[in-house]
Amino acid sequence: MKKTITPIILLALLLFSCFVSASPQYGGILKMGTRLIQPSLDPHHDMGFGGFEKYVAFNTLIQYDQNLEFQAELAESWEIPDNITYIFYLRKGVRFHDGTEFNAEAVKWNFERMLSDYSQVRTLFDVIDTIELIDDYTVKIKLKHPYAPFLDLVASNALMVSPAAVEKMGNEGFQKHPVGTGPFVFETLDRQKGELVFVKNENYWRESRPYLDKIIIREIPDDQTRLFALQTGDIDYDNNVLTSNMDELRKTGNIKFVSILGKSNTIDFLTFNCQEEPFNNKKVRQAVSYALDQETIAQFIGHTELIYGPLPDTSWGSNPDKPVRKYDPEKARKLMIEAGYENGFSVKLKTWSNDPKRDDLALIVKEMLAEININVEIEVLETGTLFQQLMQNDFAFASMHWGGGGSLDPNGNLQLLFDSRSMYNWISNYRNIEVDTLLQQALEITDRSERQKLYWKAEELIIEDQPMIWFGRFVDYIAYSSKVHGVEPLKPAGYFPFPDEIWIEN
Amino acid sequence: MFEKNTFLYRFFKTLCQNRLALSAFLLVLLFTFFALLSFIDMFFFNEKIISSLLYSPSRMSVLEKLQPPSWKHILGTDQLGRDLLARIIYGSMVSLVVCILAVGLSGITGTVIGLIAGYSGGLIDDIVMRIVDIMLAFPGIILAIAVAGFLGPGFFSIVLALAVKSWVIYARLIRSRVLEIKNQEYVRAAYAMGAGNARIIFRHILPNCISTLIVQAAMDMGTIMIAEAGLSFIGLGPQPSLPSWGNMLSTGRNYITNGWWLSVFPGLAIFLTVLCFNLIGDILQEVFDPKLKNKKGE
Repeated sequence: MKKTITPIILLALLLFSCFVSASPQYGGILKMGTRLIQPSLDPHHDMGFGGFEKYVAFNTLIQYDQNLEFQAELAESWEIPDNITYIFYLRKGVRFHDGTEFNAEAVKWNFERMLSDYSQVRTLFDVIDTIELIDDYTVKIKLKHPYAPFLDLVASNALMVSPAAVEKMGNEGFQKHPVGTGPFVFETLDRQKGELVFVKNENYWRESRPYLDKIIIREIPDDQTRLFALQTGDIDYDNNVLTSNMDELRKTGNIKFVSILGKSNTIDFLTFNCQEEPFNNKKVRQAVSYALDQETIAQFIGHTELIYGPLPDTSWGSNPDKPVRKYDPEKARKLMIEAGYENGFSVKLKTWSNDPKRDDLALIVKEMLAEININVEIEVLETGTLFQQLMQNDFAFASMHWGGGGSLDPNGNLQLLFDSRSMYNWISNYRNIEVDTLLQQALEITDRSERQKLYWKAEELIIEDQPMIWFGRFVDYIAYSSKVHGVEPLKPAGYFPFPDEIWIEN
Repeated sequence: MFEKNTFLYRFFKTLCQNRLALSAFLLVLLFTFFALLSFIDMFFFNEKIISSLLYSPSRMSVLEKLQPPSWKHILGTDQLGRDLLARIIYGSMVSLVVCILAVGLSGITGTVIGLIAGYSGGLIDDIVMRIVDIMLAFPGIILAIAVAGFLGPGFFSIVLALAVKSWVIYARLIRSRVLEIKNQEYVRAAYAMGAGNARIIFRHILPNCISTLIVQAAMDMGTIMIAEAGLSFIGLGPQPSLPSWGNMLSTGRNYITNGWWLSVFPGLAIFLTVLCFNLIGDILQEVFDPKLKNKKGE
């Protein structure tokens, strides 16, 4: 009798534990592996990709939620009386990790620091004209000119650091010992060992958060080694796994994957030089677009999300019913004849080294364009050299990547890339006065639905002109042990999604 | 042609006596044949020969990507569904051509410099040899990486990088041979009879250096091939549309857990070729230096 009961009890316990796992648990240590612990942990100094260690100790005034709506964080509410004025009403009773109070004075100090020479985010916030204190918990920011994505900027880049801590330790000291209001408090940093430890902020302003007791970040530069560490359980979370190993990892079970792209506007594309032969002809650009079968490209390379324009479908700036150019070799050939390139031409495709996906992409494009008599020569360059050559207008066709200008606002993919006065216009040398006007208008209106209309119109014009081939975007993954929950990335900057929400099964 | 005591006669005689060396020689012949075939095929037949025998090395197929070795694809396929055997055969062309050009270039440069230094002696000798000493103080591969990095990846920059790395060995070797020969009686006699410098160098000294040169070149083929693979591996080799063993190996590294054949077979090709070149080098040494063989025999 006893013998039969034991397994039943065990089974029941097992089932029970399955149900329990659905609700968050407190406590536990999350061990994360990363390629590199950023040299500086000061968020105003050199924001690095993947530097989630820069985010966990801090908060911003407002934050995006998963639907890309703004939600209150350190600011309880905000107001936009006209298109150059932003008023933030701050949360009361919030304290920095060092015990000093978070108030309007601190916000003003932070924005001034971000605008100082020391700051690497200065160019982003250059649009700020004055910062006024209305009372202890109200800040009014005036801009030099209308700039609609300002809230996006505040949500993405304005992390609030403790003024008292910076004054006490100096900028150098602060880079090694971050102090903010965030869910986790900096404990130790051991560069020799490559270990960074954060512990739970017991006085966090958000009630009953965070779940975790501790986050240990380990620097494991080699991708393969980090993968093995994940498999053996030395770490529970790997912020960047090699996609080539994923199929193998999937078989081992108990490891979950999530794309780091989240709701970001990161895109990969091939860009034309729209001002030089032969791609100054719209028909040639469209022909190339028709000749490339993006579904096949995605199948070859794997781990590629399809996009159909300069913005991914997740962005509110992109029309879900936008016109799309699908693979059609017949149309491609016809357009080549119309453009007077019946016998085709030779062109150099510039791409960069050390990325196997990009090598494969170049080879596939070469094969596909041979079908319409375009002979592609592949030139692999260092990233720096490639960008330099693009900036010097020394290219016809190149393989590129765009991180959305670091923002989740469609402006980052449209105005920055396609406005002929933008500092990034060199990526494709695209010029269209109508598009310029639309994008400029969109910067001056703060209402999202009004802006959306303008962006949809601009998007349509840009797709018609085809200054780039938006074939898709390469997906990188976070891999984590199945006992970790609440991993929902929003954008790749930081890779680490909402540290308050992550919990771990005991 | 096959008179006794000619070089070729002794070479083949030694080969026939040593089965290992014979197989090495045959393997090198096979690879050379492959390289030649691919060369002709690529430049004159537009990949038709290899396409009819196997597959075109640039033919991609989504359905056949990352296939393990099978009857259809004897060595499997890579991440773009290209046949690995076809690519290894084409890769032999790049690898061998790079090696031959690099060895040739460094051999000629090194010999010329060694001859000048050894023959003229004095200050010139001192200067040249100190330069050689400085070059030798660098690890060769680091020097090659620096040169290839400076010139940018490409076919000829890799040849140049490898030549820069290895000319010093020839210069040193030839110089010491020249010093040895220069003071022998027949050279002095030629000098006494009024032979000019050019005549002495080209008629009396150089022919006696050739054997050393050939042995060194054969040995060097292996080292250069490994260095070429290494440079291709870190992305400084020829452009990706041209398969070379080194860049195939480098691509294979990304698929080591789910596609072992992608790195094993190109690696094996490099390993075998290098081994064969070294074995042939040994044989050549025996042929040119019978004393060595006798010593071994005892």
